[in-house]
Amino acid sequence: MSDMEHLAPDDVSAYLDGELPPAEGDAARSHLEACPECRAQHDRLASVARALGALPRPVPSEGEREAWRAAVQAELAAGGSRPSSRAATPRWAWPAAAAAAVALIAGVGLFVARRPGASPPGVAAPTVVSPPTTGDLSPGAGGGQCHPEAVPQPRELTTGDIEKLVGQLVSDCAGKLQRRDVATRQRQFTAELSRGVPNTDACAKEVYDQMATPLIPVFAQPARFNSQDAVVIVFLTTLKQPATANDPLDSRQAFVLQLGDCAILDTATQF
Amino acid sequence: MTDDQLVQAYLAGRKEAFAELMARHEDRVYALAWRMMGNRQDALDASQEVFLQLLRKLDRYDSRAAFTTWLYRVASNVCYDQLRRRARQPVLSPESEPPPVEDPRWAEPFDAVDVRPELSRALGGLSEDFRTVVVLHDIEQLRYDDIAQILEIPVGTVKSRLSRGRHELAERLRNTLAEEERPR
Repeated sequence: MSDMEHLAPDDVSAYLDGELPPAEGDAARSHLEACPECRAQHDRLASVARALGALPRPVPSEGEREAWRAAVQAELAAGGSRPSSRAATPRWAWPAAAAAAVALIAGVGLFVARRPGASPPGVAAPTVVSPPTTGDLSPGAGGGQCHPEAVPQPRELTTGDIEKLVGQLVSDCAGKLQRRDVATRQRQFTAELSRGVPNTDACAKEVYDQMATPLIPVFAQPARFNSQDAVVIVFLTTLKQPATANDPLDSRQAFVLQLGDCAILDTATQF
Repeated sequence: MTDDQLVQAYLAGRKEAFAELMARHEDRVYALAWRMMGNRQDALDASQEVFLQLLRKLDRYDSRAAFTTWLYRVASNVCYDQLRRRARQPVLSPESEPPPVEDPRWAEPFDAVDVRPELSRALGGLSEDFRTVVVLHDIEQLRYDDIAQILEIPVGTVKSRLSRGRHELAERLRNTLAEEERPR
């Protein structure tokens, strides 16, 4: 069989799952009947899949279920699901929503992205939320009026801060950037942020390599986290499935990355 | 009531609908969290965080996708976040506590060599990306296109990660699985 062309390992695995198209599946079956090497590989993978499928299913105890329910009850008592401004607010209500967002953010005063030069260095100021772009949908046109935000002053971060950051960041790019903008804006914004906050470029690339979702960076700031020098970068992304070219990037993911090797120290997602 | 109807009932003000939704899916969430996090305490913490995230974000659920797809996506993201927060591999030492098993279907001992400790350790040694796909497919029994939706990756990437994850497991378990497969 040494002169036989073997099946690709991914195809052996997919054949095992019945996930190959019919014609490819038939061809794989014929090949497996004739090729002991591929058949041995198939059998090894089948053993693994069988063993995984036979693992005992962990079941929570009644006390553990009660603890979850108590936590949920406490959350419900505190307000539960908050209305989503972007998803639930009709377009005519955007000015009111924007005013409400400004009031909220001004009250909190933490990690608010702003247009460059709009505020004194180190002082976060709110930016009014803008309605989604609906006009020009040509490639790269989205987000024409928005800018990434680099804040050069380092700050001490905690896990609570990073969660607040993704929950409260108001970027003037929110709702304007679309899936189709990723290729151009990712490069442009990464370069712009890196000019204001060193190491942003290298660490953002580390995130791009690890994450399969479309990401455009909109905020960067040097930081200290767990006594380590770091950079915090917030990306706009979309969790919509399937994402089309016109879908807005309306979710946020924050990463705290260690300077040097850009190891991920902390992360939080706003769904 | 369907999951979607429970979501709508909750959003309409019936708070007890969320409790029903939670009761339906808590075993599924806990099982995924256990296999992703690798130990009981972290699985409990992650599961609670999943339920709180669901509660906070339920108004963002898009009913064009199955509720379970969205549930798995939230749960996977919570586990990813917590794993990165810990910045370490799951704890899967030989001394680690085995998952509690109350379901008699799963309590029957293997009649061949018990590969479970080695398999659990090997699974915990996979990268997060590979482990997630392997868990969702081979343990949770989801199809490629469902996993692609949950993780927001192409189906081809699911196929590749699953294959590479399985090959890595097969390599790590070469001797153990050979022993298990031997006729007795």
